[in-house]
Amino acid sequence: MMRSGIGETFKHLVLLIGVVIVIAPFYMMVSYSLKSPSEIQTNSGGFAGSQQPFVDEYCVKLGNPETACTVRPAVYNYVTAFSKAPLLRYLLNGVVVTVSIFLIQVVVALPCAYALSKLTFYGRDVVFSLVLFCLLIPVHAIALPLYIMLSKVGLINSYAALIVPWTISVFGIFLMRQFFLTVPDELIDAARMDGMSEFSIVWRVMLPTAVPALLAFAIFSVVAHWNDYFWPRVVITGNQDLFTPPLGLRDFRGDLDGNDYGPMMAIATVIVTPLVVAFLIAQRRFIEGITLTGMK
Amino acid sequence: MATVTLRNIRKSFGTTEVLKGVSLDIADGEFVSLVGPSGCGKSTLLKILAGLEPQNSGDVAIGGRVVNHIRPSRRDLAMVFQSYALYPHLTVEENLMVPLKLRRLNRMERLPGLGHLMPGRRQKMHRIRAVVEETTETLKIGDLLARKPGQLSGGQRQRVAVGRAMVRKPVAFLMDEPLSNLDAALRVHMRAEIAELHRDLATTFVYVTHDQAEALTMSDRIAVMMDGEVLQFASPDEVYHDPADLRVAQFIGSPKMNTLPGALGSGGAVSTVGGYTFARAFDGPPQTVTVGLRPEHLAIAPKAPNGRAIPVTVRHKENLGSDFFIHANVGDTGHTMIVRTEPHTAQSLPLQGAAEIWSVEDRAVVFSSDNRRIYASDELRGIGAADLALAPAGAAQ
Ligand SMILES: Nc1ncnc2c1ncn2[C@@H]1O[C@H](COP(=O)(O)OP(=O)(O)OP(=O)(O)O)[C@@H](O)[C@H]1O
Ligand SMILES: [Mg+2]
Repeated sequence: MMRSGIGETFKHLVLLIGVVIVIAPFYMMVSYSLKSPSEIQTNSGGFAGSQQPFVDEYCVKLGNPETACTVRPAVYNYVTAFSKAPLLRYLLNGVVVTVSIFLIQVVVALPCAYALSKLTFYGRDVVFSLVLFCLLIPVHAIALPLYIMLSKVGLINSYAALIVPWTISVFGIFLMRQFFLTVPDELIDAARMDGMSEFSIVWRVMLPTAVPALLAFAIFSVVAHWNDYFWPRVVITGNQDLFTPPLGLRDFRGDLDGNDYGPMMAIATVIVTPLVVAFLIAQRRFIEGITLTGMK
Repeated sequence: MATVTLRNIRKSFGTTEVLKGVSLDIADGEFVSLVGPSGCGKSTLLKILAGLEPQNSGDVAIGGRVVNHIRPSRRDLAMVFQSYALYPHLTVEENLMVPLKLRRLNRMERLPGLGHLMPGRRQKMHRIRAVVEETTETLKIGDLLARKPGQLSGGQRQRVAVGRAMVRKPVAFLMDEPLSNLDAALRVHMRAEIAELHRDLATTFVYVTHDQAEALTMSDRIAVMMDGEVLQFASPDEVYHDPADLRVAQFIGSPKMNTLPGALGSGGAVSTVGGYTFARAFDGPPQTVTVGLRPEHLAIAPKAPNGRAIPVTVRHKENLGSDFFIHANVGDTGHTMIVRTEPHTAQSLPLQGAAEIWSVEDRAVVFSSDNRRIYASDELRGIGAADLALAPAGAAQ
């Protein structure tokens, strides 16, 4: 009993250390986004800061009276974040880009995966090997040719440039194929007997049964493209209206004098929040999905 | 309602030939079972019939029309699958409506949202609902309509699967081991229900099973398949009493038919282990044969009444309440025999004790070394033994 008690304690200790390491940056980010500059510099005020109003010096410099420039730190940080940068626009861009990418990826991947797992045709194994092969190609290796091709057709600085290169996800095809292999053939035969076309089978039978796998894929896809800095940086050159959140954050950092951490952390928090919220919601659906398939 | 004809169907997967020229003529309204050991090609044959799998050669005809290149949905057949294959994301009611919607609503009317605006859709949906209701009443699943398949028991799922096949009013039902996922009691119950359903609908049923008891109890005719061939296609009585092939004889019947090595002498006399000779004459040249004896056609006693018997040692007594099955070893030849007997006879047989087995009325089925049947001279071929079984005792001699 005693030994296992110590063992349990040790395990939890290790896990707790892990949690601290993972959480610390987020904690700091949220905490800084709530504090005044002096609190950040002196590292005081606990998590949320004292929320003592302070005088915004920039505002005073502009010639306003001190009373009009006295602000609460949290309000100041977030207001500055939204006023100094078109943050909503960035967020909207992020949503448009990630959602479009994901939807088109699904539209492409599901029929491919269906064909690769449930139809027999000449050369199927070769095609699947090609899919596996494509999994091995790193994005950065083909970035330049992609850029050149996009610029040749005049698509640089457009949503299309952000979206089109990602619409065929070999990972998505691979993941969905593996999942479809577990769907019993009899279900598809039943659908054929009922009179469904192959196309309807994909959307009306395979898609609903594949929701858990699709959610897993959505997590990969959305996180990767929401957070992607590299590709938007390559194809969006200057047009601020097309900035995605990570580009916006970088841009904002460039604008500010180096130690105005409060607003910057506020931006970072705003950018991260949609993902966190989305996955808290998805998590519940995810578990539902898993239990549904478990019951068959 | 339609006849179903399979003509010389062949099918290979890669280099393995799974069906080796199967022909079946199924009459309108007939209940036919395909029975055979696992892997003999029953499901494959059913899929070819349904159009889900293309045959390499041969013809499938439904209602006299060759349907080789016609899509599954156009063949107007319905299939019940072993795993039931209900749509897991739809409720029972929606599951039942799918085949009807796909048939009766046109493409526009099926569109989600927009379809509801189409004129005429409401009436069609009304009629679809009526059919679904009628079906659920017949199958007594009315209170399950709002549930998803995951929330049903095995028996309930089975009913829903039958219902999904029924709503379309197909010309023939195909069923691939629909009862194999149910427990024993429920299986017996559902057997009766399916047989009743067949009587009510008077539609052609093609029923696949590897359970010979299911086939015997439900069918008008049984096709016994083995290794991609139909060995015999006949009524349950005929398959049981008058097997055309040794493999049929061994597959049909529980417990299995006793098979013993024997010899066919020049006068047509057949003798087997222990020097036992049958009184009837068999048609055939002298050769070694296999003698088949059903447990219920044998008798056992400590001493045989007329002296002509196979001496055995009792090994095991299986009590079924009304009957006993006695397992006995034939001397030291290594052959085991199973005999059915009454409880009071069984009581008189001590375990490990000596006993004698003889054939009542000399009812033996004899097979040549290539598994073919060798008939007795006084036996009518084909239908003979079936009639024999129904004749009063003693008439055969
Ligand atoms: N798609 C396939 N590819 C290759 N071989 C197959 C395929 N389908 C079936 N087979 C083979 O064909 C043979 C017959 O299969 P089938 O499913 O018809 O057997 P069955 O009689 O239905 O058996 P069971 O009683 O186990 O269901 C088996 O040996 C099986 O391995
Ligand atoms: Mg099968």
